[in-house]
Amino acid sequence: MSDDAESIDRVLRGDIDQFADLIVRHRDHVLKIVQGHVPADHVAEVAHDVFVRGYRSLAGYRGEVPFEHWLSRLAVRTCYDYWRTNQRADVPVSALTEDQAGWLDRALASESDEQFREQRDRQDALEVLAWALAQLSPEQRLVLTLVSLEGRSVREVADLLGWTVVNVKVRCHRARQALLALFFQEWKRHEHERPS
Amino acid sequence: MNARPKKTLDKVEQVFAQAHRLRERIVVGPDWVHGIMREIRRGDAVQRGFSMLAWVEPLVWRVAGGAALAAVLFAGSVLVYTSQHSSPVTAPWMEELDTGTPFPDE
Repeated sequence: MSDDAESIDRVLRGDIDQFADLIVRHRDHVLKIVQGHVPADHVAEVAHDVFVRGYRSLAGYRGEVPFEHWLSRLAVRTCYDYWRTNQRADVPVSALTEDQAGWLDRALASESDEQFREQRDRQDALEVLAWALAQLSPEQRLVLTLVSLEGRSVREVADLLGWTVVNVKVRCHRARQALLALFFQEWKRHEHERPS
Repeated sequence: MNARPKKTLDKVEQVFAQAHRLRERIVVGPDWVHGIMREIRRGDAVQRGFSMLAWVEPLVWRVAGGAALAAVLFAGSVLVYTSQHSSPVTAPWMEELDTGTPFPDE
């Protein structure tokens, strides 16, 4: 019996304290998933919810997949729920600042991504990314983060979210179209505002 | 941007992905684990409280069901009695309770 299976068995038999072992064993994995989806100041809170939910639904864990994988599904779905309740509340919905628009201009104009390796450019990139994702629906932002930013396969994302492969593909395509329209709109706006 | 929208988006996505990978790692301390365990224990205690009172609900339903059945039987017997007798159903008790005139001196 693996360490996880043994701990789960003991928790289910009433030894609640054993769940702390599971938390310690898997917290880095859960935090890593969560921090890719929610703002940095909410990561600990959302990861906390993942483990509380995990405890409450532990009786439903059948051991068909590794516990870490089961927890990953729960983490991704908790992040999705976070955005369904906090959509557009935490990230500025307003237009990009001059600096961010400048970054986007450079990104769109340059031939390579070499110049975006600098720390300052990375920070700008993260801010523009947060702004762009805030304009998308929770489904679109989730699927775009998992597929385009984290490089997960469509099948893997379908498994994590409990959606069909076709559904993931369609939503991903729509999310990319929305992102492109957004950049184009913002680029046009700055082009228009720029003194000639 | 119009000319090669897909290529442009691919490139920006690549930059985003790179920035995404280099996000600062969040570190949590032992207090965070204790906080989760506190919430779990509290939730468990509430759950246990509910399950200790779980026997109350069926009991209430049983008593209510019994009372409803008794009421139906009583109403039925009153109907049967009134159809067979001309005096009111309360007549036997009325005679027992009749202590004569309230003020005999008058």
